[in-house]
Amino acid sequence: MNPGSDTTPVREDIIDPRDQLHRFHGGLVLPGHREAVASRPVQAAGIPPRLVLPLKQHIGEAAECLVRPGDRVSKGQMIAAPRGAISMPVHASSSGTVIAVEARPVPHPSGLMAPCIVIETDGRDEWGQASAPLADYREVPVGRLLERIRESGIVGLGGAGFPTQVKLAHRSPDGIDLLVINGVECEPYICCDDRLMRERTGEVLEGVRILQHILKPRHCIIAIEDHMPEAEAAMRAAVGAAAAGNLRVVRVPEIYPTGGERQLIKVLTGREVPSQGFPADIGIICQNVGTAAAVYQAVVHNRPLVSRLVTVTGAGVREPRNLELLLGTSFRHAVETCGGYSSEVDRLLMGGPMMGFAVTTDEVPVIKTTNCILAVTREEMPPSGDLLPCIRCGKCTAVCPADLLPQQLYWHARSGNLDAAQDYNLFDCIECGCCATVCPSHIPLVQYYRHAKAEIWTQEKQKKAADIARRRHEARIARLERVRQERSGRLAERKKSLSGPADQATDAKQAVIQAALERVRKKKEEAGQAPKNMDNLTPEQERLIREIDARRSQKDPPTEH
Amino acid sequence: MGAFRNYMDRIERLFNRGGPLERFSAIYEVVDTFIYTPADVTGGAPHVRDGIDLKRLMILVVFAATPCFFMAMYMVGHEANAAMASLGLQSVEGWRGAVLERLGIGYDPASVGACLWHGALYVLPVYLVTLIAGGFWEVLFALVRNHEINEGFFVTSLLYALTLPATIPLWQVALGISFGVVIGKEVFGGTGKNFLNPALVGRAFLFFAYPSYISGNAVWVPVDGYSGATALYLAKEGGLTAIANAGITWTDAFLGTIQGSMGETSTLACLIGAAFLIVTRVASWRIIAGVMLGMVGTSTLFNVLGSQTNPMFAMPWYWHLVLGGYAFGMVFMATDPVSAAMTDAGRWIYGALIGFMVTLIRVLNPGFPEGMMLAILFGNVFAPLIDWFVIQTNIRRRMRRHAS
Repeated sequence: MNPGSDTTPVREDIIDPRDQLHRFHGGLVLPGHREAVASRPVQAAGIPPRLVLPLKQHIGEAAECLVRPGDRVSKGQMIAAPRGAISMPVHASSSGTVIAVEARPVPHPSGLMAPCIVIETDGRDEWGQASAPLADYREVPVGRLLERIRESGIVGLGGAGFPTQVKLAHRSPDGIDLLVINGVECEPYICCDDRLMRERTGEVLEGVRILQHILKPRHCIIAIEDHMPEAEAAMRAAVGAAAAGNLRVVRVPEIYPTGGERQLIKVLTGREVPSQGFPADIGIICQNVGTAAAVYQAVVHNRPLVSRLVTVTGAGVREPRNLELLLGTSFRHAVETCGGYSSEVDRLLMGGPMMGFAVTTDEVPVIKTTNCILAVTREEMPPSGDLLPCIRCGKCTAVCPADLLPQQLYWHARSGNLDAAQDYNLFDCIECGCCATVCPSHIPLVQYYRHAKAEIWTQEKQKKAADIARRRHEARIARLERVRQERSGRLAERKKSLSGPADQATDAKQAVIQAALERVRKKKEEAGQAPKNMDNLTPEQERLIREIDARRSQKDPPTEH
Repeated sequence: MGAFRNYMDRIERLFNRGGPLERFSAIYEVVDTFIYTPADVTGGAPHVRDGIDLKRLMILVVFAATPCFFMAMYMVGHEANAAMASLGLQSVEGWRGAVLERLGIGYDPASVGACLWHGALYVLPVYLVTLIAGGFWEVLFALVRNHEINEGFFVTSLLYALTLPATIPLWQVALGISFGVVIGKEVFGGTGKNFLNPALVGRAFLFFAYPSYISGNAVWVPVDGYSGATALYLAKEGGLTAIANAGITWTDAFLGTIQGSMGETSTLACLIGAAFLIVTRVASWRIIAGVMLGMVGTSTLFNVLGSQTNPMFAMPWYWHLVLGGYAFGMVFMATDPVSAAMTDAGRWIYGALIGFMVTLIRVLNPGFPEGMMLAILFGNVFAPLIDWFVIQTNIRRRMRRHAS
């Protein structure tokens, strides 16, 4: 026993020193379709005439727009500010003029429009004046680094788009055992992370060092799938050259979806992230290689996230390759940079063939989570056959990487039995699409799960709204009741305070009124029925009155007195 | 072909919602998708699909059963011709005799062609009646429910036909498949929703409704006056000695030259089908292995226990394998995914349960010399329960693992 470890509990080491890997359940070996694209260097796509920047390019609340049409913006200027804890800013990705803030088509499975800031670029690509770069990140407090990452708008660039600083701030009580840098890129066709690791090895590595500095993990692994030996070699050489310490490069086998956070953690450590939990709960944090490079740019060069690498590929593109694209560039511009569409193009997807979704127009912009623009031909991805009945063959269960029972989820989701679907851990589904890929009945299983999840979210939202409404109503009823009681209480009190002397006073008043009435009555009796102004008339006046009366009586009928 | 496509496109609106022929859209669909692939495009992920689909799965099962089908034709013809030779008959009466006469085929038991032809005249009518009667219900339900007609029916009808004896009256064939399709499948909602194997439900109906037409000594060989008991029946009476006395060797039983239902006598043909189904991953190898292990284990147990009065106790597993409907049921019936267990562990248990039950029924139940049909139906009934226990056990195990 090491005497030094008396105070701290002895922990079993989270990773095997000999890099003994583990297996997750299921998964698929898919054809990669990457070779041709991965061998070509990244090309910058230039500045398009227009940039469309959605206010929401991340998981969480949409950002709040800070500019108005007509405003001039410089590159890297924050044009929308985060709203709430889980929210991220948006930056102008080139200099120019804001021409509109309006709803535009955005890359989203729904095909709906969402608020965007539209910038007409001036082609000068001028950076605004940046705050001073951090001299040495090791000298800066971690809180300041996290703030810088947030200000730079960095989200998970692997595809999910979760705000990076939120993830980095989420700590387990025991600290972080393992930082995983995810360079797995398991989905077919996509190879932008591959090129990134080959061409910008230093940036990635420096970003990893910053993340290590922030998290202070006991171990750090850069995981690379075995279909990209060049990237692996480059990273290994860089890590080796930089005197690695607890940083290692590990090669993982090519099985889809090894790039999924939970699956990768299982492969590297054999541990499972608890259902409903986060990797940080078991002392692990996972970050994409692209995110690491973006962190480097933000911390060392004070550059916010304004561009990213995107694989533009598929048989529907003439010269598929990896591009560095400014955020907000339209898909059309990206495809045109790659030689345009081939004649047989059938569908345009954002993301890979497994988890990506079809977009309805190529006007949609590249956003922070766009890792791939995939234009496919019908031959390449033939439409799925007719929907047939489930015969319970169980192939979906055999391939599910989340250890779920897709078939049961399907029955429950389909019949709207949402509670049962949740009992079968619907929310552990990562929507990787393995089950739907192998389904011999062509059942769009993932769509059923997405629908069920959305339905549950909607119900919860409605329930929450109903709860709020109910609480408000109850509060109102209570308030009215309180006011009523207070008022009646006040009245009772006043009555009490006036009682006794108050009665005599009332009698006195009554007596006065009574006396007055009496006087009036007496007067009336004295005066008889004659008008008061007829008393004491002069003879002249009496004559006049008689004449008038006589004149009046001649008229018939008398209209006025 | 283009003209036909145009025609199909033109008449499509008649079958669409609100069209005059809306009720018959299922028939339009079946013709259209049989000839052409649909033009619809996926709306969501994933956009890649495995090549395998339900239609192909079903066709692969039909392929796998083809050896059994040909063996059925050959064996029925061979048995009939051999029986005729032994009884000294020169021709058969009725339409079959007329057809064979017209074609000049003859009744030589040594001629493969003659046996195939003679057998085909028994197997094909049964199969055709099954297709027509069962198909009628399929189409009717598809039209009323606005479903599509499913290829799984071809599998059901082929397997059903092969489990019947050659002498079965055709009206019973129609009755049985009607019961199987309607009560065994459609009342539960159609393909994928039945919990029993429809082919076996149909056969079980006939077995209990008209036992004398589907069991006994006179039904297996379609020659009047010829009587031959199944090997299992013999074994029930006198054990392996009785089988040997009847001149049946293990090889005979393995190849299938013994009495029995049309398609299930040849273990060899069934095993060829099994190999095909396992290689193509259509059937679960776990179920097949489970049925095998269950039977081997249980029969070995009986062998060890022994019995003075019941000769079936002494029957070794390799005889169980080749007799009766065991091999056919193991390969084609137990592996029906709809009515089987769906979890991997559950499939082992489900298979083992069937293997155990079939041996138990064969050995201990004097009423039923053949136990495979009942054993599989029994397994079908328990499959959901098995799955439930497997899942609960798995949940408990994982809870323990994560608690520690």
